[in-house]
Amino acid sequence: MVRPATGEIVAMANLPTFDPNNLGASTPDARRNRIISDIAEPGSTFKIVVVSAALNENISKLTDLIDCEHGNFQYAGYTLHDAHEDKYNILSVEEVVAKSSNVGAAKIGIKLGPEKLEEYVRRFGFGEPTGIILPAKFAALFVPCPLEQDSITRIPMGHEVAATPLQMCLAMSAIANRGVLMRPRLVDHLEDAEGKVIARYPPQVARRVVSETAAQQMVAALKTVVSTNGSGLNAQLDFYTAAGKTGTAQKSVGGKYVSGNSFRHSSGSFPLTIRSFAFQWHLMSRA
Amino acid sequence: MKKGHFGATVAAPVFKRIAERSANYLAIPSQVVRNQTLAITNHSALD
Repeated sequence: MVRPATGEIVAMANLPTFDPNNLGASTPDARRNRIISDIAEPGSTFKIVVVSAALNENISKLTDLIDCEHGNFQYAGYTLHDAHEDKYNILSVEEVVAKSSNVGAAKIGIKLGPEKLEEYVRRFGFGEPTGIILPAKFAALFVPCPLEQDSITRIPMGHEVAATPLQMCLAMSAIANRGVLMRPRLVDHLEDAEGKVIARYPPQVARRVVSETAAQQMVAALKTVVSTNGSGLNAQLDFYTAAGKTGTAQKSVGGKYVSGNSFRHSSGSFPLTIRSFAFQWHLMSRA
Repeated sequence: MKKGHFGATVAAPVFKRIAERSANYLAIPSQVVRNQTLAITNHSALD
């Protein structure tokens, strides 16, 4: 849980966890901070990257209509399917986000082009260390151009890329923070024994990722996800406004997807005010 | 993949539970009363 305006990490939790007073009773697996060291395909939560990029480049508007091919899109010799039972025909860009159409996101990616897509993936902080002052094993992966022919249809839906939960949370934070990506912040200041402040660690801007206008449009689209028209209705809050995105991705072992092993993500921000929080929830299944 | 495995089905309700409890803990005033949104009047939602 991150405060988008400052990058402050308000809360971070892992399960399974361990008792630091009894390290011997825990396994190395349980002692790992998965939020900063484990990577997974972000699935549809990653659609915020391609859609906000298209909005920022003014190549798409939320009201633009996209033919979602009834959920079956042939491209580069492969067929891309929509994940849900509903087979969508014509959707607006906003509805592509709300309904989480893979085909719609792929077509936005094709319109954006591989170079711009890669540029925005990197702008959002994927493929680079977050800068958190904790030891982390992975900087997260991103395959540079030239991409495989069908990658332009897969990356927009969060496949063929990998990210840590913290990276995904910071990306969502950038949207909630008017388009500005912040460095994660763990410590505000240090005091000596007398309580005198001896060091301060102010918020650090990583970079502007998209314009304020594009970020506001993305927030508007993400609000529809958490509505009766959206795929994330189960995340709707009773007493607060929220914007978010859910995602699902299969686990990859040895370069191949393993059936039954999946990651489920939800990423969002609430309440929608300047004092909002961004939130990332990441669940791995061995079912 | 079965429908019950999707993030929208499995992860979204957890977002709701943790977000609402966090908001309580942080004493964030509620924005919505009886399904009517208060204070939020535009899409910018970040003012």
